[in-house]
Amino acid sequence: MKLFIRTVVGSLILFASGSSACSQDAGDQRGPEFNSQIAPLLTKYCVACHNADDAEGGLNLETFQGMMKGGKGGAVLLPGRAELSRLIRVIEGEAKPKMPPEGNEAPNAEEVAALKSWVNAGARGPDGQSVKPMLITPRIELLGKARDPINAVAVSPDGQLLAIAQYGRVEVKGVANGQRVALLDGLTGVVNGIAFSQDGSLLVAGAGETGLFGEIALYKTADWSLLHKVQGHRDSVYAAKVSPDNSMLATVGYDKRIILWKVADGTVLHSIEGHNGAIYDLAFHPNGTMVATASGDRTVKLWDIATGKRLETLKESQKELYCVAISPDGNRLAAAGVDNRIRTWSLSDDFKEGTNGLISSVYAHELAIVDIAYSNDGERILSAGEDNLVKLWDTRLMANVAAYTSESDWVSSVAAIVNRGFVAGRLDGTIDIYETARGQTGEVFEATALTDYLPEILYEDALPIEQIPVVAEVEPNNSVQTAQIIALPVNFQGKVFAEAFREQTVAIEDDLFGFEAIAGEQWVFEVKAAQKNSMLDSKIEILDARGTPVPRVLLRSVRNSEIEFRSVSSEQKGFRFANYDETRLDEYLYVNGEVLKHFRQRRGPDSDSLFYPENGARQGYFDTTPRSHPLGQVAYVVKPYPVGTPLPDNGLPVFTVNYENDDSSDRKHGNDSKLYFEVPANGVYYLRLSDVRDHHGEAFDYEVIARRPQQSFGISLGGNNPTVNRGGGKAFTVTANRIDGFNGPITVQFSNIPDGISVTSPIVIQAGHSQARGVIHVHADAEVPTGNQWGVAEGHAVIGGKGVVKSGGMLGELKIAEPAKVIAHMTPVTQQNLPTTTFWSRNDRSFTEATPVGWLTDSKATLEKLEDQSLLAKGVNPDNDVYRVKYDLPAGVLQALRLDVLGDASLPTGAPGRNPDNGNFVINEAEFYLVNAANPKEKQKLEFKAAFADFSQDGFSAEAMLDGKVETAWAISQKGEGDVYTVPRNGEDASHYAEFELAAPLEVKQPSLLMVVLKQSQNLKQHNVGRFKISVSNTELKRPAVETPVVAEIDIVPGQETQVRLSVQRRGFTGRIAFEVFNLPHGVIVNDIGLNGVLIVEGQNERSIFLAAEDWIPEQSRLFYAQANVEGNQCTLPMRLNVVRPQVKLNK
Amino acid sequence: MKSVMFSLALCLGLISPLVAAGLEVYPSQIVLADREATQAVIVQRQSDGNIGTQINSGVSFKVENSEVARIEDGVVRPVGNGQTSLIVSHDGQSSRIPVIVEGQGQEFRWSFRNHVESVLSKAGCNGGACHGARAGQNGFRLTLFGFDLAADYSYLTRQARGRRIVPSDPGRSLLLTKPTGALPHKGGVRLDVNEKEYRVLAEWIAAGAPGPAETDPVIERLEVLPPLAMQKVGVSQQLVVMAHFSDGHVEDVTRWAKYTSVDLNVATVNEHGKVEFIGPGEGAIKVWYLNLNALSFNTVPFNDNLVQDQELVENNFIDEVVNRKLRELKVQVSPTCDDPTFIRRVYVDAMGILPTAEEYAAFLSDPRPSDQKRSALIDAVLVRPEFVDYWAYKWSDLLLVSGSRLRPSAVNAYYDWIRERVAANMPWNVLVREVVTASGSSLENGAANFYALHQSPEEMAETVSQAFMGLSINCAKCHNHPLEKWTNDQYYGMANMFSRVRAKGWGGDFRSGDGNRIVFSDTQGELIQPSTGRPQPPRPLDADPIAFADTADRRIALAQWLTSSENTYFAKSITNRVWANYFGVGLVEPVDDMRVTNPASNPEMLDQAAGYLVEQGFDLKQLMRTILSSATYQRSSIAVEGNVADKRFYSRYYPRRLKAEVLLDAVSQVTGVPTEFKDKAKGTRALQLPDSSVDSYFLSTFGRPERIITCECERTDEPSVTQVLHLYNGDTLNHKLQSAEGRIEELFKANTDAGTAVRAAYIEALSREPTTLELERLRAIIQSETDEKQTRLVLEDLFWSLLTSKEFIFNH
Repeated sequence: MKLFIRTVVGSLILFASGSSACSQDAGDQRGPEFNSQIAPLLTKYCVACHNADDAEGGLNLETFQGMMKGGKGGAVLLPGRAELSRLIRVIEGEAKPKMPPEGNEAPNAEEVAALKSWVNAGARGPDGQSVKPMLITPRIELLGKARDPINAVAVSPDGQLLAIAQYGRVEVKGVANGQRVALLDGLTGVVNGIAFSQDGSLLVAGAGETGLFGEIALYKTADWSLLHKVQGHRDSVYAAKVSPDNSMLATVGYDKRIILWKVADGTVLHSIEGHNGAIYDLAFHPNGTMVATASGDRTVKLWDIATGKRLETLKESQKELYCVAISPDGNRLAAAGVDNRIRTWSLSDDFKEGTNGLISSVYAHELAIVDIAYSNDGERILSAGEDNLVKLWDTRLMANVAAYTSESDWVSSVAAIVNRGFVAGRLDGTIDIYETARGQTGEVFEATALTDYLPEILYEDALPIEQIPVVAEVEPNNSVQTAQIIALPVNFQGKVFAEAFREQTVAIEDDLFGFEAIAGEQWVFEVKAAQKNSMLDSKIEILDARGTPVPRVLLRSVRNSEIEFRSVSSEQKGFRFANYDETRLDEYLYVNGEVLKHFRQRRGPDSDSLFYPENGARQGYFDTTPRSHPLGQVAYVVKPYPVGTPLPDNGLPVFTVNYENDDSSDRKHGNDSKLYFEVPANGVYYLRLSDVRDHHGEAFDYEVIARRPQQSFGISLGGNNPTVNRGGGKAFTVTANRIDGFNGPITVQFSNIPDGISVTSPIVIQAGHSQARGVIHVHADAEVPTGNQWGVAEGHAVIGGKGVVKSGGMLGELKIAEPAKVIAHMTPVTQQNLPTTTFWSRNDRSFTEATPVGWLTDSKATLEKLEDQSLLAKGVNPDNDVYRVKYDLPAGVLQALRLDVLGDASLPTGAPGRNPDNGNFVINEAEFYLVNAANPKEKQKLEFKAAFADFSQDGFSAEAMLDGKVETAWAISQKGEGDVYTVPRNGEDASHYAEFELAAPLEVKQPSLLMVVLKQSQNLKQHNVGRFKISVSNTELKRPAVETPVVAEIDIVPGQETQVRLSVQRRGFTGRIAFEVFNLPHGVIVNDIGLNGVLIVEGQNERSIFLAAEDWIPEQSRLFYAQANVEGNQCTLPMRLNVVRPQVKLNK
Repeated sequence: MKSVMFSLALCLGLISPLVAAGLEVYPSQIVLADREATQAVIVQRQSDGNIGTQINSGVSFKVENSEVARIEDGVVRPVGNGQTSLIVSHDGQSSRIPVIVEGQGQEFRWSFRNHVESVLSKAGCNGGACHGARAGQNGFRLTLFGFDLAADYSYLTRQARGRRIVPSDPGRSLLLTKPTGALPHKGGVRLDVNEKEYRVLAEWIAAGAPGPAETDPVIERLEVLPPLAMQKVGVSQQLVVMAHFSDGHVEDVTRWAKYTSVDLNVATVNEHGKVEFIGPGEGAIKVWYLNLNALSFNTVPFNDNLVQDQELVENNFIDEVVNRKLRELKVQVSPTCDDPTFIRRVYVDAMGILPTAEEYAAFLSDPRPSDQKRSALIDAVLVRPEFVDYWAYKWSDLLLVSGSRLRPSAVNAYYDWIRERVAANMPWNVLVREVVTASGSSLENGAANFYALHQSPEEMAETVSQAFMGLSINCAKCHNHPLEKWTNDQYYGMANMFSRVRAKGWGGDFRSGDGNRIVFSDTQGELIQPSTGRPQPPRPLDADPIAFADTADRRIALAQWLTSSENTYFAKSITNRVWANYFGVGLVEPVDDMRVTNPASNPEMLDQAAGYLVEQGFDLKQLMRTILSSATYQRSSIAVEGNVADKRFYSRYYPRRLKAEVLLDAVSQVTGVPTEFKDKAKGTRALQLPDSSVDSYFLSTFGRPERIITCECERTDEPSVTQVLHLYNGDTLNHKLQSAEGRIEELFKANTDAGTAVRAAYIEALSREPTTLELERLRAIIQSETDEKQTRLVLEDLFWSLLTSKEFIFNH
C-alpha cells in the first residue's frame, strides 16, 4: 500500500476570513499566510481547548478575530514582537503555564519558527474572501472494496418510495420494484438523517463533515430539485425532519444543538442549546407545535417550536438514548437507547413539565437499541438493536409480537411502510423489506401469571395437633435411599445429629422422611425447634422420588434493579432499590433468593420503598425467607409463571423457586421453618430437614408436623382503651392474623357504639394485607360510656366459599379528655358544610349583664363605668394591678358567669388590653365572691368546674384564671409572621370572652353582691385589662342531641385523580399542621404530599389534596381519614372513597 | 512468584542465546514472518554464563545474504524470502544468528486484535485518563487498555453512527484526523502521519476495518530480552520485547510495548524501552503488551569491587540465602548487634513491649554464651501472653475488627475468636480455612463477622484475595487487570465462589441493630457477570471450575484451594507479612502486593521461607523462631561503609518507628502511668484493645489503621509535625510525666540518688546503661537542684528527653 499525500503536506483547515486587511500577494517579508500555514498549527495544538464552545482562559483560537481579541489575561499577540507575545512565550516555556499542557505533544522547532515569523511579520489576518471550512487529509488508497453502510432509510407516506442515505449521497428507489428513481449526491460526509415531509412533497437529508460542520439539503420530490443546501451545526447532523405543515425543518447533531430552519429560505429560526450530550434523533409532534429530541445525555426533551423553549425533560432512561418516535395520533412518545429498554410516555395536550408520565418500560434487546419507529396505524413499534435483531411490539401491551434476525450486521435504521411492513437498512450496506401486513406477526406473549398463595381448600376438621401420630426418627436417614416412609399427617421427631457424623463417616447430616401424596393435595410442614429452645436453625425441602428438589414456580425477570443507599437487614420492612419509579405496586421483586412484593412506593428520594406485609418485618413470598442483602445487590422485578411454562428468552434471568423454606416466611416462628406444599403429581415425595448453617449436635432436636392447611384468621385491635379529646378523633388499628395462607379480604364491623361516639365501620383489611385503620370520634357533648362493653369488633371473611366470623374483642375503656385544640375535617370540594353536627355551642345559654356598683384598683389607674355596664381603665397603666368590682346580684339560680373583654378606641390598638404594643392583657387570677349585701363580711368564694374562652393564647388558657396559681394566666394574642403578637379580631371586633361554669348551681336567695377580683400580677408588665364587663346566667347548659355524623363520599376513577378539601378549626392551636392520610384503598395515594407530609401552614385553615388512583384498582368503597400530627394526633371523621370504573373509558 | 522463576527458566531454555565468549546476542534466532516484520538486535557482555551490560558501540553487523535481509541501526528488515545469517562482531569476537525471512510478496493485513489495539494502547488513547475512562472522553469510549476487543471494535466502527471511520475515504476518519491534529483534539497530537502507527490505522481502515476474528493469532507469551542481567550504575540498556503468538509466529513489539520500572531508585525506563541504571539494587523492568506482562530482572551491584571484610555468620537457611544475595550485590554487612539492643528489639518486634529493668538485668547477667541465651530468650518471648496480645492485634488489623463497622458484641466475639487461635498457635492455614468457611451466628462464631464486614460476593472475593494471598484483584471487576494476569472472567469466577453465602439478621445501617448476623451457604444462586449477563463458572482464581449444579458450600472447595501447599500465593503472602514484621521491610513491598509484576527483592528467599512454612505445617511461631534466630535478624542497625544505600537486602537491621500502639504502651510502661481508654479497665494496653475505633488522639496521630479496608496501607508510619508536637507538648506524655503516681513520683518520693535515677530511666526507656558522659552530665544537673519542686521538674525533664529521643521512638 502507498500513502499519497495531497499537495499540502499534513492537514489543515481553511478558516473563514474576517474583516482584517488582506492582500492577494504573499511575499516572504509578509510572513506565513494565516489560513494555510498558521491556522492548521493552532488547530493541531491549541483549538481543542480554546474554541468558541470551550474557551479556556477566555481564549478562542478558532478564528483570527478570537486570537487578536486575546483571553482573560489580555492580548496574546504583540504583532511584530514574537518574543513579547504571550502565545509564543507559553509555547516556548518562557511563561507559565507551558502550552500545550504537560503530556501533549508540542509544536516542533519548524512549527514554532513559522509562528514566530508570522507574528514578527505583523500577525497578518487571512488572505482572500470568506472560505468555507474544509478538511484536507492524506489520501489513503483503499485496499479493497469499501464498506458503504446504510445510515438511514425513509419511506414516503404513500409507501411508494424508499430513500436510502449513505456516505455523500441519497438514493431514492421504488418500494415495489427497487428501481432507482433519483440519486441525490454531492453531499458532504455521511448522510445520517433522511426524512420525507408528511405530505411527501419534500425530502430532507442531514449530513456533514465529522468534527467540523453539519450540512442540510432539502429536495422537492416532484422533480428531485435541490431547494436549499445549507451548512450549520458544528459537527455532523444526525437527524433532520420537516414539520407537519412543511414550514420548518428541525435538525440535531453531535454538537448538542437543535436548529429550527425556515423551509422557505433556509434561514435559522432558533438554535437551541440544552442537551448535555450529542443529540441522535428527533421527532415532530403531528400537531406541529412540539419537537422531541433524544440525546446521549440520557434524556428526551420536548421543545416548543414557536418559542424554542423547553417544555419537558423525560429523565427515566439509565443510559444514552439513540432514538425517539411519536405515535401517529400524537398521544404517546417512545424512546430507546443503550439501556436496552423501550420506554413509552403519554403526552399531554400542552406537553408541560410533569404532565407527560411514563407508561411502560420494557427490556427489549440484549444490546443497545439503535432505532425505533411506529407503524402507520400506531399499533406497533419497530425496534432495531445492536444484537442484529429487529423486533415488533404491540403498543398497547408493549408485548413482543415478532423478532427478525438479521445475521449480517446491525440494522442502523428502520422505517414503516404503510399497509405493508417495514424496511431495514444495515451497516453492511444491505437492505431488506419485511412484510408484516399479511398476518405474519406472532402471538402476543401473555402466559398466565401465578398468584403467590395456594388455592383455598377447606379440609374436614383437622386432627388436633396433640392427636397427630408421633414418629421418631431412625438413623441413618441421610438420603432418599435410607429415608423413613411414613403416612401423613405425622409429627416426626428427631435430632440433626448422628453418631456416624461424629465419626466423620458421612459428610452431611440431613434427616429425610418419605410420604405418598396425590396431585392437588395441600400439606403444611411446620418445624418446632427454635420455639422449643433447640439449637437447630431448620431448613426444609421437598424432594421428588429421585431426590431432586420439586420446583414450585418460575420467576421471569422483566426488569433489573439493585439495592441502593445501604445494605439491608433481613428484618427491615423496606429499602431503596434502583428504577423504583418503574416498579408498580404488587409487583414481585426477586432479591438473591428472596421474593418480595412491592407495597408502597418511595414517597421521595429520602424514603424507602415498602414491602408486604405493611406492618412489621417484610414477608417472603412463595415461602422464600427474607435475608440480609449487601448494597449493590442485583435485584429483578419478576413475574411468576407455572413450572413448565415456555418463557422466551428476554435477556434477563428466569429463576426457579423450589418447595423449600428456611425461616417461615410470615415471620411468626423465628428460625423455624414452615412450608406449604401443593402436590404437583401423584407419587412419593421426601421431606429433607437440615440445619441451614450446616451445624448439628445433640441439642439440635426438632418436631416436624405435617398436616392439612386450615385456612383461617384472627383479628386484634390496636389502640384500644383510647383517650379521645372532645370533638376530636383518635385512630386505631385492626390487624389480621392470617392462618395457613388465608389471603382474602376481612371485613371488620363494630357494634354497640354509644350515642355521641362514632367508630369507622366496616373496616376492610384488603386481600393480602395485614392491617387496616379506623377512627374513634367523640362528639363534643358525648357522655362518657360506662364500663368497657362498647365497640365490639367482629371479623367476617369468606374462606373456600364459606362465611367465617371471628370475634375481635372490644375497643376497651374510653377516656374523654379536654376539648381538642384542632378539629380536622375532610369534605368534598363541592360541599360547603362541615361533615358533623354542630359542635358544642353556648349560644342557647343567655347571660344578663351585671351592674357594677363599686370599684377599686390597687394603683393610680382609674376605672370608668360605661353605658353598657362595662368598666374602662384610664390614667396610668401600671406594671401590675388588681381590679376589685362589686356588682348587684339579683336573687335566683346562678349557673355560670361570663367575663367579656371589650375593645375600645381609647385603648392601644383598640383591643381589650392595655399593653401598649398590641392591646393584649393577662389575667392571672379571677376570683368571684357571693357577698351578703347586708353584711359584707359574710362572703362565699364561688367554685367552678370548667372555664372556657372563645379564644386563648397558646399557653394562656381560661382555666388558668381559676387555678389559684399566679404564674398562669389567660391572654388573647397570637403569634404571627415575624414572631409579632397581635390580638385576633372578628372583623373589626376585638372583643373576646371567657365563661365559668359553677361547680354546682347556686341558689341566691336574696339580692346580693357579686365581688369580682381580677389580678394582673405577672412579670409581663403593663398587661392590664382595658375594658370588661361581667354577666351572669341562670340557664342550664343544654346539650344538643348528638347524632352520628353523615359520612361524606367522593368518587375516583382508576388512573385518575380526585380532589378533597382538608380543613381545620383551630381552637387555640396556631402552628403548622402536618397530616397523613390513612386507610386509602391499596393503590390510591395522596399525590401532592410534601417532604413533611400534607401541610396546613400557620395562619391557614384549609387546603385541598389530590388523591390519585393506579389504573388497576378494582371497584370498591372504602372509609379513609386524615390524621394531624399535632395536639394528640387528631383525626378527621372518615370519608368514603368510591372507586368507580365508568362504563365507557374515555380515550385521551 | 512461582511463575516468575518458572518463566525465567522457560525463557532461558527456549531461546538460549548463542554463546560466544564474552558476547551474547539477543535474540538468538530471527524469523521475519511478513512484510512488516522487523527485528531489533542487542548485544550483551557475558562472563561465566552471566549476562552483563549492553555493548553499545563498536559492534558490527553483517547479513550474509542481502537478498534475504538487511540491517540498519541494529534492526533487521526483510528483503526476500529465504534463509541467511547475521554476523555480529565485537572486539574480535563474533556470533552468528540464523535469519529466516518468509511471507514476502504475500498480502499483509493489519490485525485489529494485535496491531490496532497495540497502537491505541501505545498512543495512550485507551488510558484511564483518556478514552479508557469509564465515561470515555467527549463521547468516545474505549475499553481500558483494550481488554474488550468486541466493545472497542464497536466503539470505533459503529457507535455514534459510525462517525469515527470513513470507509470510502479513510484519511477523513475521525480516528485519524483527531490524533494528528487536523481537527482539534483535547488529548493533543498523538500520531504523526509519517509514522508507522498512522499507517497501521489508516491501512486497517483502508482494508475495510476488519474486526477481531476467531482465527486471529492470539498472543500467548511475552518475552523481554535480556531477561536477566548484571548491570552497573550509569549504564543504559535497550530492551527488546518479543511477542509469541498462538500460530507460532514471533513479533518484535519493542515499539508498542509499555515499560515501567519497578524500583525507581535503581532504574528508569523511557517509552522506547531504554533503561538507565541510576542506583544499586534489583532493577526490574515491567513490560506490558496486549494485556500480558513480563519482567526483565537487572541486578546492579552496590560496590563493584567489594571484598567482604568478615566471615558471614550463618545460623540457618535464611542467612544462607540472604548472604548469597548480598555477595551477588556486593554489599558490605553490618556486625551482630549487642545484647541490650537484641533484647529490646525482640521484645518490640514480637510482643510490642519494652523489657522491664528486671528482665533486662536477668538477660544481661545470664552467664551463657550469647547465642545460647539469645535462643533461650526467643523461646521465652514466644510463649508470653504479650506475644498473644501483639499477634491478636495484628490479625485483628488484617481481619478489620472495628467498632465503626460492627456492633460491640460482634467486635468482642470476633476479637475473642482471633485471640483464642493466636493463643493456641493455630496453624495459619487452619485459621484461614475457619474464616473463609465461617457460618452461623456472628456472636457465637466470631469468624462469621468476616461475612458481616464483607457482604457482597465481590467484596468477599476481593478481601480473601487481598488478605490471604496479597492479591488485589479489584481492578479485574471492571476490566482485565492491567498489571496482573487476572481477567474479568477470572474475577467473576472467583466472586461466584461466594455467591451462595447468605445471611439473615443484622445488616443495613451498621450503626444500629444487635449485630447478630447468621451466615449460611445456600444451595442455589449465581453471581451475574455484568459484561456478559451470565454467571461465570465458580472457580478459585486459576483453579478448575466447580459445577454449577454442585450444592455443597463452595467455600469449602475455595478454602481447600486457598490453603493448599500448591497455592504459593497463600504461603508467600503470610510469610512476607511475618517477615516484614520482623525485618521492617518485606521481601515484597508493599507487603500485601504479591502480584507477579512486583517481584521480591530476593525471590529465592521468599520461596525458601514460604516452603519452610509449608513444611512446618503453617506453624507461624516456628517461622518466627527461625527468623529471630537468624544472624540476619541479629545484625546491628548501624550502617557501615558499603551498606548505607541498602534498604532491601538485609545487610543490616533497618530501624523503624514504634507502631502507634507500641509507642503509647511504651510511654505508659516507662512512666508507670497507664493510658486510660473509654469503657476499658484501667491498665488495658493499647495493644490489648479489640477495637480500633476506641477513641485515642495519640493512636490516630501516630497512624493506627482504621480497619476499613484490607490494606497494609491503612497503617502509616509517615512522620508528621502533628506527631512531633503531640509528643513534645501534647497531653499524652506530659500528663504522665506530671502524674502524682508512677515511676517519676516513686523516684522522687524515695529521694533516689541521682545516678540511680538516671540509670533507671535509661534502662526502662532505652534498655541500656547510660554512657559515662551521659551519666555524669545528667547527675550534675539533678544534683545542682536543691529546691524539691525543681528536682521533680528535672526528673520529669530527664524522662521527657529520653521519651522524645529517636533512640526511644525507634526500634533499632
